[in-house]
Amino acid sequence: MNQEPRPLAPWSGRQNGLNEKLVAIFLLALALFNPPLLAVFGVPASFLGLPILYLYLFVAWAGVILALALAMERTPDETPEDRGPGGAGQAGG
Amino acid sequence: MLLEWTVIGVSFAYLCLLFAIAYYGDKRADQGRSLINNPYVYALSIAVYCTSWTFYGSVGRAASSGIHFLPIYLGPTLMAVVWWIVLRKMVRISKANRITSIADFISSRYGKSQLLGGLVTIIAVIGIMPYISLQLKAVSTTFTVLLSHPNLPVAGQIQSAPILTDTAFWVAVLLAAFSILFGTRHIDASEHHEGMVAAIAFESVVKLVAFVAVGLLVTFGLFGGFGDLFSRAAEDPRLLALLEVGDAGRFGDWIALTLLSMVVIVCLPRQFQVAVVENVDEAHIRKAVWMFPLYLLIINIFVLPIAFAGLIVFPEGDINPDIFVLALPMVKGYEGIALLAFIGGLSAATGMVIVETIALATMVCNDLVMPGLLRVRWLALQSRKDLTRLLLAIRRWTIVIVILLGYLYVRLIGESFALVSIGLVSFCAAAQFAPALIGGIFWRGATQKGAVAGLVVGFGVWLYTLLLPSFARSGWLPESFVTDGIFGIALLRPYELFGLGGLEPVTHSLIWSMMANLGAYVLVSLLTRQSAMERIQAALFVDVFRPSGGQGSSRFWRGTAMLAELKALLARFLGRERTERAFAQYAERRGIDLARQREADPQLVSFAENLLGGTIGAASARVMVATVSKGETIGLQEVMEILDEASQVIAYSHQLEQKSRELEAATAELREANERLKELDRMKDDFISTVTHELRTPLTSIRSFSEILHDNPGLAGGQRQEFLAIIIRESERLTRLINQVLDLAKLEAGSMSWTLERVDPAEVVREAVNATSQLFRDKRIPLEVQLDPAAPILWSDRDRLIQVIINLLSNAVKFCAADRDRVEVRLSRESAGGGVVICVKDTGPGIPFHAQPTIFEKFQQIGDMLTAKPEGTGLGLAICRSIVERLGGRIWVSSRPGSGAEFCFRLPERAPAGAKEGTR
Amino acid sequence: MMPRSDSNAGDGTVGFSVLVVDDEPNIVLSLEFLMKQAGFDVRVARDGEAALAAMAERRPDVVLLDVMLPKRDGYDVCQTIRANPAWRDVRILMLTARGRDVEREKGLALGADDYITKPFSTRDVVERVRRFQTEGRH
Repeated sequence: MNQEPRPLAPWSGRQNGLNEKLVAIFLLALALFNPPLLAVFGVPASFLGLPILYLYLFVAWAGVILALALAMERTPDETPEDRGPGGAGQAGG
Repeated sequence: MLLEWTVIGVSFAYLCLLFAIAYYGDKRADQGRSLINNPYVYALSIAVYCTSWTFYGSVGRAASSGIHFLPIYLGPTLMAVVWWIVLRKMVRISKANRITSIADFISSRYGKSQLLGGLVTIIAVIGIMPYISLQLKAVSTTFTVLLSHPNLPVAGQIQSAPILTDTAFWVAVLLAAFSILFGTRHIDASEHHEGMVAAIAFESVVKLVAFVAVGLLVTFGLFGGFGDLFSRAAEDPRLLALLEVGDAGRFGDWIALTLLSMVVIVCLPRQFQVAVVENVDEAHIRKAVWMFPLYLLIINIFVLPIAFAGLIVFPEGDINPDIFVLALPMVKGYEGIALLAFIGGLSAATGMVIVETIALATMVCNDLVMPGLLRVRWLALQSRKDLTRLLLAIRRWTIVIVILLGYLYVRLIGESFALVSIGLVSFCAAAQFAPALIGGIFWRGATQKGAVAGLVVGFGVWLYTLLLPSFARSGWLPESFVTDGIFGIALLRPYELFGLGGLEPVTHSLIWSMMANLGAYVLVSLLTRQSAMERIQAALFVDVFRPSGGQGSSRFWRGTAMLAELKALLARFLGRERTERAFAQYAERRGIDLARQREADPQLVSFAENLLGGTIGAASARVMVATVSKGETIGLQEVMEILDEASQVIAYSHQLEQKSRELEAATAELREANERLKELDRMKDDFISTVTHELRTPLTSIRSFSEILHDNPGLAGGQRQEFLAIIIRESERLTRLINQVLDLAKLEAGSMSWTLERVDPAEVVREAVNATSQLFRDKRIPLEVQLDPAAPILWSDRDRLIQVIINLLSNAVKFCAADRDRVEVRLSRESAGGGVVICVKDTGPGIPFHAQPTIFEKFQQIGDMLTAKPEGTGLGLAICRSIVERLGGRIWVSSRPGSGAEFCFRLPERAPAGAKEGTR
Repeated sequence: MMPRSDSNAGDGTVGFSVLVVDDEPNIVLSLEFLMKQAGFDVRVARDGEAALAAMAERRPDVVLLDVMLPKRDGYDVCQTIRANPAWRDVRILMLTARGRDVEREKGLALGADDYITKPFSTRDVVERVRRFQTEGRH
């Protein structure tokens, strides 16, 4: 795909699919952090000496953060004109 | 032994350090070298989310509910995932509109409504007060605990003391003083508190370090690591139960808490303050999105271990689990770590109180007090010279009052609630902002009345199901209110409204209040209409990422004002110097000379209102500017027109975009067609060039030998005969070539005449064999003929078929070595579909694989460039293919280089009748 | 200026050598006849590689070079000859049945000395080779 900014309707330009990635991660996290998946690990068992539920939640949590970090850091910046009135205290009107 | 003065001294020194950081941060900001302009500070400042409730309360909750302390942190993680979409939009809107608080944001979105601003402020103050009191309670409790060393106070032992000896009171006073110093040193239009943010970020580091230090000490110092701790816990069935999620009702609590904490991470006034108002660059959100959840994860790793350790070390249950973080190091004699833990808790509490009270003070001042004062005529506020001092005073008093209210709440509610429960009550109140806040930036149609309705109803349900019962449990209301419901109506029991039981009070309250809030918000929004102002603001908020969003509201503003009056108005709130500076900047940016103007144009008026809004809030600013401006904001009709126009422009540009896409597509098609034509042209050119070459070659020989014979009449007889024979052969070759070129041209042009008739394929093969038999005899190559008697009679063109087979046979002979190779022609009936297959197979050199796909193309003689040039025109196979295809069949070759080739073609029983396009 | 050619054509009358390169046997036959008749020493090659091999074996004074050759085409052979300093003074007369101007340009650009389109006049060919001979002499 060509990345040159379109003069028409730049607001409709997608941001490298970042938003889609984020929504996907959100849905994934929602599924990971809540029942019924949670109930599957809610058993009195342990793995490597750690309670399995405790372990599962922190590993899943870390996984989500990692995915998020990768999505944010690996996706290049959007086109410059999409940057808002940036610096501090800049007037809007 | 920790002496009282040691603890006080260290605490005081710590607070002084904080203030020094804040002071330095403000100084750097004044110099234009912002200390907080980096994403790490931003992410850390958002960690103000972790209050003393996290620091002490999480362990308390984990000790009683196990893993159920976690949703409070998983929820914000979920929201952080979509921050780039939600929070970035809020930041953009807030910068464009100089938003000062969440109340300002909501009021501004719904037509700069004073009513909404006030409502949000009231809900925030009432709702958050318990939260502030919680911090005071935490600090004073832990302070007492620390001083009681080495004895630990048993639960319930901390009594309410007379006010002046009550540590909570002094903590409140100290924090109030601190907040005033941090937050209201000067009134600033941008409402950035850089020093405060720097201090908050520092506090986030301190509390993280302190908590992790306690966690490490407990896990690895008091126990032998995670494994040891958990295996000790596994021996106790009481602890084992804490590791289960529980039944369906507990699932409900889990989900409710997750959703609750998910929305409050943007709805809590202090979170809105640090994440939106104090944001200096929206690019910082990029890092904060994952660093803030990471912070939460790290600070929570040791919560469960500390809780379990506490339960194991204090099995009698006489120690309040809320103070495990402090009690564990103390009881084991780690005084330094205990003091560090106390400082960490102090960090968590002070950070929260400072930011929260500053946020609330801004809201109370801008959205509650100022609008009220402006209405009171006898104060004659509108004609006072300098109001900046008044604004500051209002904010300072607000801070004092809010903190004292928090203190009162501690005194009243006392020990009856655990830390977490108090915090959740506040969470639930803040969550009421979510529909109006988040709905407002994505749903253009949401109306002011809808927002008001949602807030009022949701807040009402919260009051009834959460706050009032907490009063009842503290003895301020009759206990029967909780047990029997109001007026004894069982259906109205605050913890089991309409019979919904089996849930934690917070879950229960959240479900009802959110349902009521969302329902009212959506329903009323759908049933009511927006005013002109609402429509403008809704468009500005929802479409902030559109290019026109940056223009602000000036395009909707038709009012003008006398420049001098406008300046005077601003100077009263902002001070003369700052007003002059702002106007000068404006003039410079627009390239105009304000000194020559008497009247401020609509754009300047709009700019002034925006500027003023940054100090006193959008709603009040609008009222103030209206007092000096002539002409109103335009009417609803005009707004509709402008918005229509805007949407028409958008629609038009969409159309344009569509058109240009179509044009692009058409251009691409044209280009492709052109390429194809060029390619055809090139092929034709190649074809002509090749034909020319093929014609000229025999012609060259003919001419040369003719001239030789002509110039040398005395040539020897033998040589003469030889040369003449060459001339004859080359002439024949020339004729053959010309015939074939003509044939092919006719075939391709479709002008070849076809005679379809009954054809016996066996007879056709025999005919072709006869015609070529001389060739075979010449090279002494045996030709085997196999004819299937079952082959059907065809409806086809006899002469063309003979031509094809002759071509194939002579082709085979050409490549065969004399005396050695063999050729075989075979006619068979096609089993499927009727028709026949005719194959000519030789044992010659075969065809290289790379040449096979193009062998039926014109002039694709194999051997070209690689071996000696074969005889023939290079058109024979091309003609064969054209004929076979015209007759409805298909021709193909199979060959393995080195072991011969087999050309086959299939013919249907009936050739398609006369269709020209059948010729290829 | 041409020290090498002296050794070959220095003794004057005999030994002006022509290499005929073409894959069409009858054309080769006619050219061979014509060159021999004109008194030149004639050798023949049927493709590009054979031509270069013959060149390496003994340097001819003139190469009659067809363009459409198997294995290595005439342009390739021409370029290879010109790339070798020892063969710098070998005269190349290109023959082609493709009459387009581009091909003529290409041949000359690659270092051919002259260019003739098939079918050619036999006298013309002999004439041009003779001209090379006399040019090489002064």
